[in-house]
Amino acid sequence: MPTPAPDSRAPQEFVTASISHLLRTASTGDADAAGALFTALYRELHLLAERQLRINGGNLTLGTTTLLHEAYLSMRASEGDRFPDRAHFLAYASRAMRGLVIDYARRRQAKKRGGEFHITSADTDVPDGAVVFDPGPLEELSDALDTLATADAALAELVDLHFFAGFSFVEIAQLRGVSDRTVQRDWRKARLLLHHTLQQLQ
Amino acid sequence: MAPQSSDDLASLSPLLDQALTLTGTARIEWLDALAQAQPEVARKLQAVLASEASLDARRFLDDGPGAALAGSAMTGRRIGAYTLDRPLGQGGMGSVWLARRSDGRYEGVAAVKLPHLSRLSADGVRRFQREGSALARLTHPNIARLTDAGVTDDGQPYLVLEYVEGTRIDQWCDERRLTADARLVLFQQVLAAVAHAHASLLVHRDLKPSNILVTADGTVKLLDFGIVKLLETAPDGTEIGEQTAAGSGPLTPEYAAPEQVLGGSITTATDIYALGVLLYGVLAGRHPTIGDSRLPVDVMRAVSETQPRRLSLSVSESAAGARSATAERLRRAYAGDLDMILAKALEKDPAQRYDSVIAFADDIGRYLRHEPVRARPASAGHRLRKFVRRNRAAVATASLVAVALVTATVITARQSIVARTERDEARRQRDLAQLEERRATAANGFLQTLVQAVPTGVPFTPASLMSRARTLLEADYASDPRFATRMMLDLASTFAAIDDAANEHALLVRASELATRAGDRESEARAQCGLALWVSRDPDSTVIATPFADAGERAIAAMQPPTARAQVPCLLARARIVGELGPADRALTYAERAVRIAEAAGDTSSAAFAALLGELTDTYHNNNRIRDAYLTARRWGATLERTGRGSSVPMLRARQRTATDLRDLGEMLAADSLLGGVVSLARRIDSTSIPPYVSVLAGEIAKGLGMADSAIAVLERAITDARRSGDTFRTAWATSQLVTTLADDGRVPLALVRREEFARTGTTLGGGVLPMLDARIDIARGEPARALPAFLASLKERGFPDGRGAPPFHRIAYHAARAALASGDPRMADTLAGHAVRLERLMGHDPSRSADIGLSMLVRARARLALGDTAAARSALDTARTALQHGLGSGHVTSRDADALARQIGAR
Repeated sequence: MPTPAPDSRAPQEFVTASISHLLRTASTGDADAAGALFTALYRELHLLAERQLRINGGNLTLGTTTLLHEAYLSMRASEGDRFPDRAHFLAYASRAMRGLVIDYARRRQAKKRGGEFHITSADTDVPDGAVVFDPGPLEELSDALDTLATADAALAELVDLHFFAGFSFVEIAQLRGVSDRTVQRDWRKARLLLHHTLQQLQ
Repeated sequence: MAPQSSDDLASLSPLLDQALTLTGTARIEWLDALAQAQPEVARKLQAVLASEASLDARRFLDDGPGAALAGSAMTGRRIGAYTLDRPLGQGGMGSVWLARRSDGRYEGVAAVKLPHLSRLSADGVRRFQREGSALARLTHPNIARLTDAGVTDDGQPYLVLEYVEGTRIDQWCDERRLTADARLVLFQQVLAAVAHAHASLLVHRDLKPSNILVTADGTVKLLDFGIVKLLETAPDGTEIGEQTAAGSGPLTPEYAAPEQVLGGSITTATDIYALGVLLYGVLAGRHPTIGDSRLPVDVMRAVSETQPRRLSLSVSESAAGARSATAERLRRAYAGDLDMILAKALEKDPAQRYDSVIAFADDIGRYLRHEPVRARPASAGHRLRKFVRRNRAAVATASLVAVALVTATVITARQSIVARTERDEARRQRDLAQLEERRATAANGFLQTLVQAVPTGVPFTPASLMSRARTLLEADYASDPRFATRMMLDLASTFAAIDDAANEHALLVRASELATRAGDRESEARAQCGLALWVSRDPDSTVIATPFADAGERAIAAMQPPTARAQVPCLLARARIVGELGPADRALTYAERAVRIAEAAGDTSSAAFAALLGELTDTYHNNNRIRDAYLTARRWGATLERTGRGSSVPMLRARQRTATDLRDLGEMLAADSLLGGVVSLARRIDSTSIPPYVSVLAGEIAKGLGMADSAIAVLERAITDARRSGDTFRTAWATSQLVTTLADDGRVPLALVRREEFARTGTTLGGGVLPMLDARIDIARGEPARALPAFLASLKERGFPDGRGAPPFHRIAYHAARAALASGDPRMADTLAGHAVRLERLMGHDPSRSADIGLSMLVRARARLALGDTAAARSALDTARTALQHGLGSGHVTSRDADALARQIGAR
């Protein structure tokens, strides 16, 4: 846990702070800023998803990658040129996307059980034979990812980018300025360590 | 969250990085080493790594949650004129749906492809629609039509394709147990479709069995033509590369061409390669290069580096069963033309593949019609360059060479069978036999070139390659014993070239059996005389060689008329036997005759002829005709150069012999100027070590030129090298040279140490050498009177002054002369030095260039001066100075001594 910097502000202040400010502060290792950033990003992504839902007249394809790009474009438009670079933004946003995906799966589960359903419209039913997402394994995966992040944050970020946000290895390689091969090797490593952590958590 | 667990991860992380860069046994060895050092850590790491394969198999985390979340919402959605009905498949690239026409005007169904593409700008949409309509114009009965392409209002790109109800081509063939020919006929449809698309400038880039379906009525339908490219390029022109590394997990480019894996340019040749892999799979049921490992790194290597296994060697019993044949029959059917067709399609270098799919299809048509195919392995020169390049990189590529070897011999086999059936026609009989022979010679000339070009000391062993070739001969050519025997004989000489005496012998014995059984006199003579030569390589066994040579000559006597191919090795064997058992001069008669017969037969460009010149060089040398040996060695080298063996081990020997003979002619400066080339050739052949026969020569020349220190260093090195390579003769020879170098340089104690070493190990040179070394040390100690009797005894033993002597004979006379002069007997010195000069001239020394003559004449000049005959001394000194100046150079200490003496005489 890093010691709060003398000029650090209370968490609630971050809620209203600009995303670009939060991104910069979080990058210095400020955990409170990071928490506030995720909350803000989550809210942004969620809003975007709901807007898409309305545009599509109830039929939603949760294109996570599209969503993230759109989020980036709209935030940059509203916050101006000082907005951090895309790679930086997408890394944090992918972490937020993880939360969104898990929540989505939870709600879907809830709907199957007759509960509230937020993102998809009510008239689209789950077709027979389609994969129903059980949020349980995703939550465990998320816990394991948090553990991995304490040992190797970049590896955990890779899993968020690829698995939760849906970026291809080529895209990630471009974002990170490394070769595809490096990303693929990191991916194999991340997978092994995650699997190992999952086994330990179980 | 367990902190212990994350500490664990942090400590395992760097080790895992290392482990993941290693595969196979390298990883096992690395883990073993780790287990030694840190057993607990190694155990944990192994536990983590243990799940690697199962994670791959389960595609753990390969498909993001998004795809599954999205899919369920799509049913019933309208895309263009279609409504999505049910998902047909889901992959890294996107999903494919069965769709029905929405307007009800047609009863059509279609396949709708929804790629995971999310960044299409307005430009991208237009491009997608434009190119989609270009693809839609691609109409061919064997290509599934693209009827529509576009982007929905919400940004989802889509492709509407002809819906094909069919089975993957490989399954379709296996289910029906189609024969190989039926499969080839079916495959012609695939080729026709690809050829059509290529004519429209479209490259598929992703040909694989799952993209090639066969309908119930046997029509082939190719899916996804041109689509990969459409999906590959993002609107801004950057490569997205969805098909290789999209969210589908590890790269598995089983049907990718090397240039795709290595990032080269994609052309129609890329499709030709994929078609080769496909056809290979359809015919053999396996991949041409990829083995069991599915690790991306292994697969990448297999695609980019591993040479494809010969098709006919990839046939398994079960694969044959699925093709309604036995493995043996299938292998026979594939061996030859199909092997070559596939090898051509699967060339790593795109430029070496078929020029077009039409050419590929044409060759398959030729095969089916039993016409000669056009596919030929790349030229021997090309293969060889490739081979040498790979060896320089120290990559073990036995398989590559095996393929090269196999393709080279396969052609000859087929042609020899053709030749044999037509031989019945009496008029053409001899012409065809000669033709066949020339072809066989060509194939084996290639083999020999190949092996002789193999640098020694690299991971790849020529012996293993030749053993493969031998197995191949026994297995594939049993039906043609005459041909197999000839190949074996050539192979035997190739084994000889790489000093593998055991395999050479085994092949000669086998060839002799086969030849006798088949009544093939020529091969019988070659085999028997080959055995005679093999036996006589050990001088002590020469007597045993005689019966073999006799048997060879009997076989020749039964030939009408005897051929050069039989006569040459038998004359050579006779030369070797006589050379050892005497009379030695008869050996020259035989060897010279062998060369004349080979020349008359027009065989002056083969490896065998070059070897013959090498043998003649030795024979001249052994007969002390050094000038002739030198001239023959030069011709030997020129022959090797002319026949493309300029960088081979025989070439190194030829050049080393040329330099050695120059040294033995006393032309040290000339020998020294050749030495640089010899050493650099030796380095080119093997950068890690210089053969002892080169380093010993270098030491001797340095010694001759008066550079004692470097001579000593080089000789020390030569002794180490020779000892390490088990060369006892050269170990002893270099040691004796070191003793005399040290002695002549006045370092008596060191010379004595080396003398002791020689006394223990130098017996291979014969008993006469040690007293000579002692005599040289005596001179260095300033006791010439003790040395003289030893030199004289040695000369007497060798039949001095008339006997036939070995090269050092004249040197003993010279050293005896020096000893006589130093011990106060100038008359004897003059006589002995005169004998030395006489012997040197007999050897072919040039009186105006030979340092040896110069040294001898210098002794004579001094002796005559001591005898008071200044005029005779001056005349001797003139000769000495000219010879020394050309032989050693005017800066050499002895030349300067001679100059000083000249001034002294002139002063008198």
